[in-house]
Amino acid sequence: MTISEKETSGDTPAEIWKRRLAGRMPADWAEGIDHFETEILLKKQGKIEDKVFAETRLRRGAYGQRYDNGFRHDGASQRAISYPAAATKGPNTLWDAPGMQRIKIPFGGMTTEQMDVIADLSEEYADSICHVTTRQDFQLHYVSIDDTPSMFRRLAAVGITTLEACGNSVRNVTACPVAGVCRDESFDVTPYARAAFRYLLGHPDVQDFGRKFKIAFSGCRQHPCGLTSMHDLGFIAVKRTESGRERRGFEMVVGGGLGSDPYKAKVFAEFVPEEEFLALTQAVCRVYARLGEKKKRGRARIKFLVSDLGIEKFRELVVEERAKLPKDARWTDFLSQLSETDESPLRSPQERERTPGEGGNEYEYWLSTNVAPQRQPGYAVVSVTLPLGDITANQMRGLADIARKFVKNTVRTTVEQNIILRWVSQSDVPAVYAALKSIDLAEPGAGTIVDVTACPGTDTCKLGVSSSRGLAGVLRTRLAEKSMQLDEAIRGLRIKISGCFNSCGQHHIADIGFYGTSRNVRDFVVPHFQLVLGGKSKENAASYGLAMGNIPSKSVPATVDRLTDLYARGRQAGESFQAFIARLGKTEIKKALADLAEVPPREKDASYYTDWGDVREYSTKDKGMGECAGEVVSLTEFGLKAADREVFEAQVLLDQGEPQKAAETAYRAMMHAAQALIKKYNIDISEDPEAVVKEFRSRFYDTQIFHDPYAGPKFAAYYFRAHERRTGVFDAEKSHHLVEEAQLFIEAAYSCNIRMSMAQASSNAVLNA
Amino acid sequence: MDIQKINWKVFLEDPAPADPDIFFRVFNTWIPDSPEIFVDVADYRHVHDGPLTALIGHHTDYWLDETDGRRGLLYNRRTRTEGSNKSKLTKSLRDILSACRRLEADPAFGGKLRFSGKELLFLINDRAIAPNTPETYRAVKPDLEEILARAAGGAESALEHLADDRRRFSVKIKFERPQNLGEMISRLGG
Repeated sequence: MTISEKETSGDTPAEIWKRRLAGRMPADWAEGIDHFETEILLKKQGKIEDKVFAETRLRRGAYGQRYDNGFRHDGASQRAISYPAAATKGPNTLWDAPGMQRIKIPFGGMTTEQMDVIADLSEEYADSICHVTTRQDFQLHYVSIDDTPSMFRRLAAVGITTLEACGNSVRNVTACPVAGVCRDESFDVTPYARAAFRYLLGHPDVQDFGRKFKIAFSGCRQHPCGLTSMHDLGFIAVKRTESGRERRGFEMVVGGGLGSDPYKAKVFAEFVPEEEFLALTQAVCRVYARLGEKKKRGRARIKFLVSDLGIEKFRELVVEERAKLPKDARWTDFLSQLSETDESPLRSPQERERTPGEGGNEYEYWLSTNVAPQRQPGYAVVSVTLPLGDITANQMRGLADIARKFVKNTVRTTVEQNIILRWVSQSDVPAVYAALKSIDLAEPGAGTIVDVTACPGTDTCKLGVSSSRGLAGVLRTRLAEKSMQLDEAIRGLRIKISGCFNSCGQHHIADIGFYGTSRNVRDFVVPHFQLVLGGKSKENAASYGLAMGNIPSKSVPATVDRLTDLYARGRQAGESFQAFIARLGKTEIKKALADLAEVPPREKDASYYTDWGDVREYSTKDKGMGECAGEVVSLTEFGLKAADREVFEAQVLLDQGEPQKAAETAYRAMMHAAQALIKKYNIDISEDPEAVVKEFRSRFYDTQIFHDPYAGPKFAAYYFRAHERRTGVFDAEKSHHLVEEAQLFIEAAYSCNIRMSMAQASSNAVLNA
Repeated sequence: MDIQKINWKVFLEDPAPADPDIFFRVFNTWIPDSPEIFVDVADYRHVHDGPLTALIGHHTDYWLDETDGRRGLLYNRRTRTEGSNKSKLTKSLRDILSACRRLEADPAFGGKLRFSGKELLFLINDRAIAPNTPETYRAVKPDLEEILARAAGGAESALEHLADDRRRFSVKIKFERPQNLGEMISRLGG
């Protein structure tokens, strides 16, 4: 018996929605949701394997959250949460645990009706907070999996699917949020992004990937709205004149990605005609599905395949694949529907007549940061700044009403975690400001240093190491207080924060980036952030920054102050932040921040031992550790710190244009980190690289002690690969990757040391009890 | 109708002592020290017109809430509850009033936190079973009035259905005279 048969006579909320919304969504979507509902039932009956169901729910965007394994550290110890059901909905994820639901918003485009529905869902199934992500999605938190079928039906009824919002599939297709109204675009990429989304959703050729696959569209080369360089597949709008006829097409780039090991996408073709881009995308997907890594998750993104094969070979394979594909009418059908996504204004275009002092300083400042003229005369784009990407249900409905009143029912989400209103008549801007102010959404500073981007971090993410949202909140508050007084060059900087090395907060492409780490300090684990400088989001994420060193979480605000102050005082005329950082050099910067990297003793300042936005002590004191063990730990710590120094030296060498030396130094840093861990068992470990790698493998890899709880053997594999290639030739790009991997291997060594110390402490506590 | 996903909100006499930061710290102490299954505390001080600090539970949430600009404690039942509507209304009202008393007594607020006994807000957080219509109000009103009369020791209360069809089913309740929260809990069998 299926769920629908069982419940036709009942009046549960799920059944009511199913009845009420029948026929109001595409038949295949409805069928898919019915199947999912049945799968939930079967899973509850133990008829579906954990891993299979986990992938099923993930493909519907239903994630586990931080405490879904049934434990929460309360600052003193790890305590069990007594969820009523012991059954799981996937590896380490208890059935009853509240989870996160990701909602795909292709190209960030939403209608006011969709906004109303998401507001309602956030109230009824989550915590009244709608969160915009760095990939133009929405996320709702603390959702029960039992509520997801109703949620999916309500979304589907307004044209939204969560299918393939997560899992090893094509994720949300993102696009420049000002597409169609931008002054600098080649053409509006919106219909192309929509076509890619529609063509690939559920396509058989995208169901067998080893990892996720992200696609982005940009209308131009220069702005940071599309960020194509950091995507698995990116399309930049290009026009070309052939035989006197203007043709639309795309520069196609492939193999980019951030994550723990960032790669810039490579140019696949300088011009792919519009009628060819879907066919070529399909061919790329088929090659990736066939040749991409499946077993080692850490090497499964397409960036590794492209890097391993080389772009020339990859291109050759894709072109061969394309030639074999049977023609599909959908490759070009959408071209006759390009105008369907065109937007038109609600109000007539009028230039705004400005009077001196109009609206006061606050309004003027908002105007300068949140309003930009459109390509179409008389209209403006208004950015609605969402603090940390959050908007409450009531505000969402209020914003939908403003959109209805001023811009004909559509808005777009942005990768900066904001929402924009397009087609605002210039004469309406003051009224829009007043309306936004009435719902507390007239915060200025969109796209400035105040508009800090952050992933969920330790708040809700299972992988978070430090509190990215907590830190972002503090930085926002501090910077907002003085934003109007900030130097123009400082105001234009961007800060992006990730809770861990995985880069969901996109720290690599920020002027000032941070990612969460931790350090053992005087027997305590202290929250830290790795500082990343030199990234550039402009020009579609033109360059990635490099790690500069760890800063205690509580010193990050002072670090931002010092860096911006250094820039304000020391920059040369017209010098960008990236150029300034490069000129100053990593050694000088490190020196300037040296005092901020220190952690005071706990007796002097206990606040360092608690993370931002938390009241719990970050970790427990390693009680009961014997002196002998303590001494060995000291040797390990000492060795890890030496490895830290070496990897920093490698970064400096890289900056100085010495990639070979940088690679050699990075490898040495990895070896010394491995050696430091081995010293826990064998303080006489030799300096012979072969001996170190052999002993590391037997003591830490084969035993899985070094395995990251989530990433598994990924970081150990970095070391083994570096060891195999240590005598090779390294150009700048290869060296860059090796330095990044060395940094991550050392971070993993620190984490391993912390895990081992805590396990030792627990064991000692039991023995002493 | 079978009432589910009950929400109550008790407003503050004075919002000033209800510092979200203190709530954040206090709610964190509730996680290990309560018989209820609490999971997390979420900090939403940066947003407006919604929760400020949310203690997330498996069955029930408690939020310091500022929806519609009015600060108070919100009780949000997430999971299904069994029993008659009257028993569900009684237990949920008793639970939120007890939570108010617990907060008032917490030394972190220095004795300054006071919840109001003059009014309440009642919501059903489910648009499927309780659309915000006059029919829902007619269905809920008798049970609601009976429980409120019992809680207020027979004192009258004025009920106002907030009939905005985009909002969840909501009823504003005003007592004819201010109620003592402790006495209400006793009358509800606490």
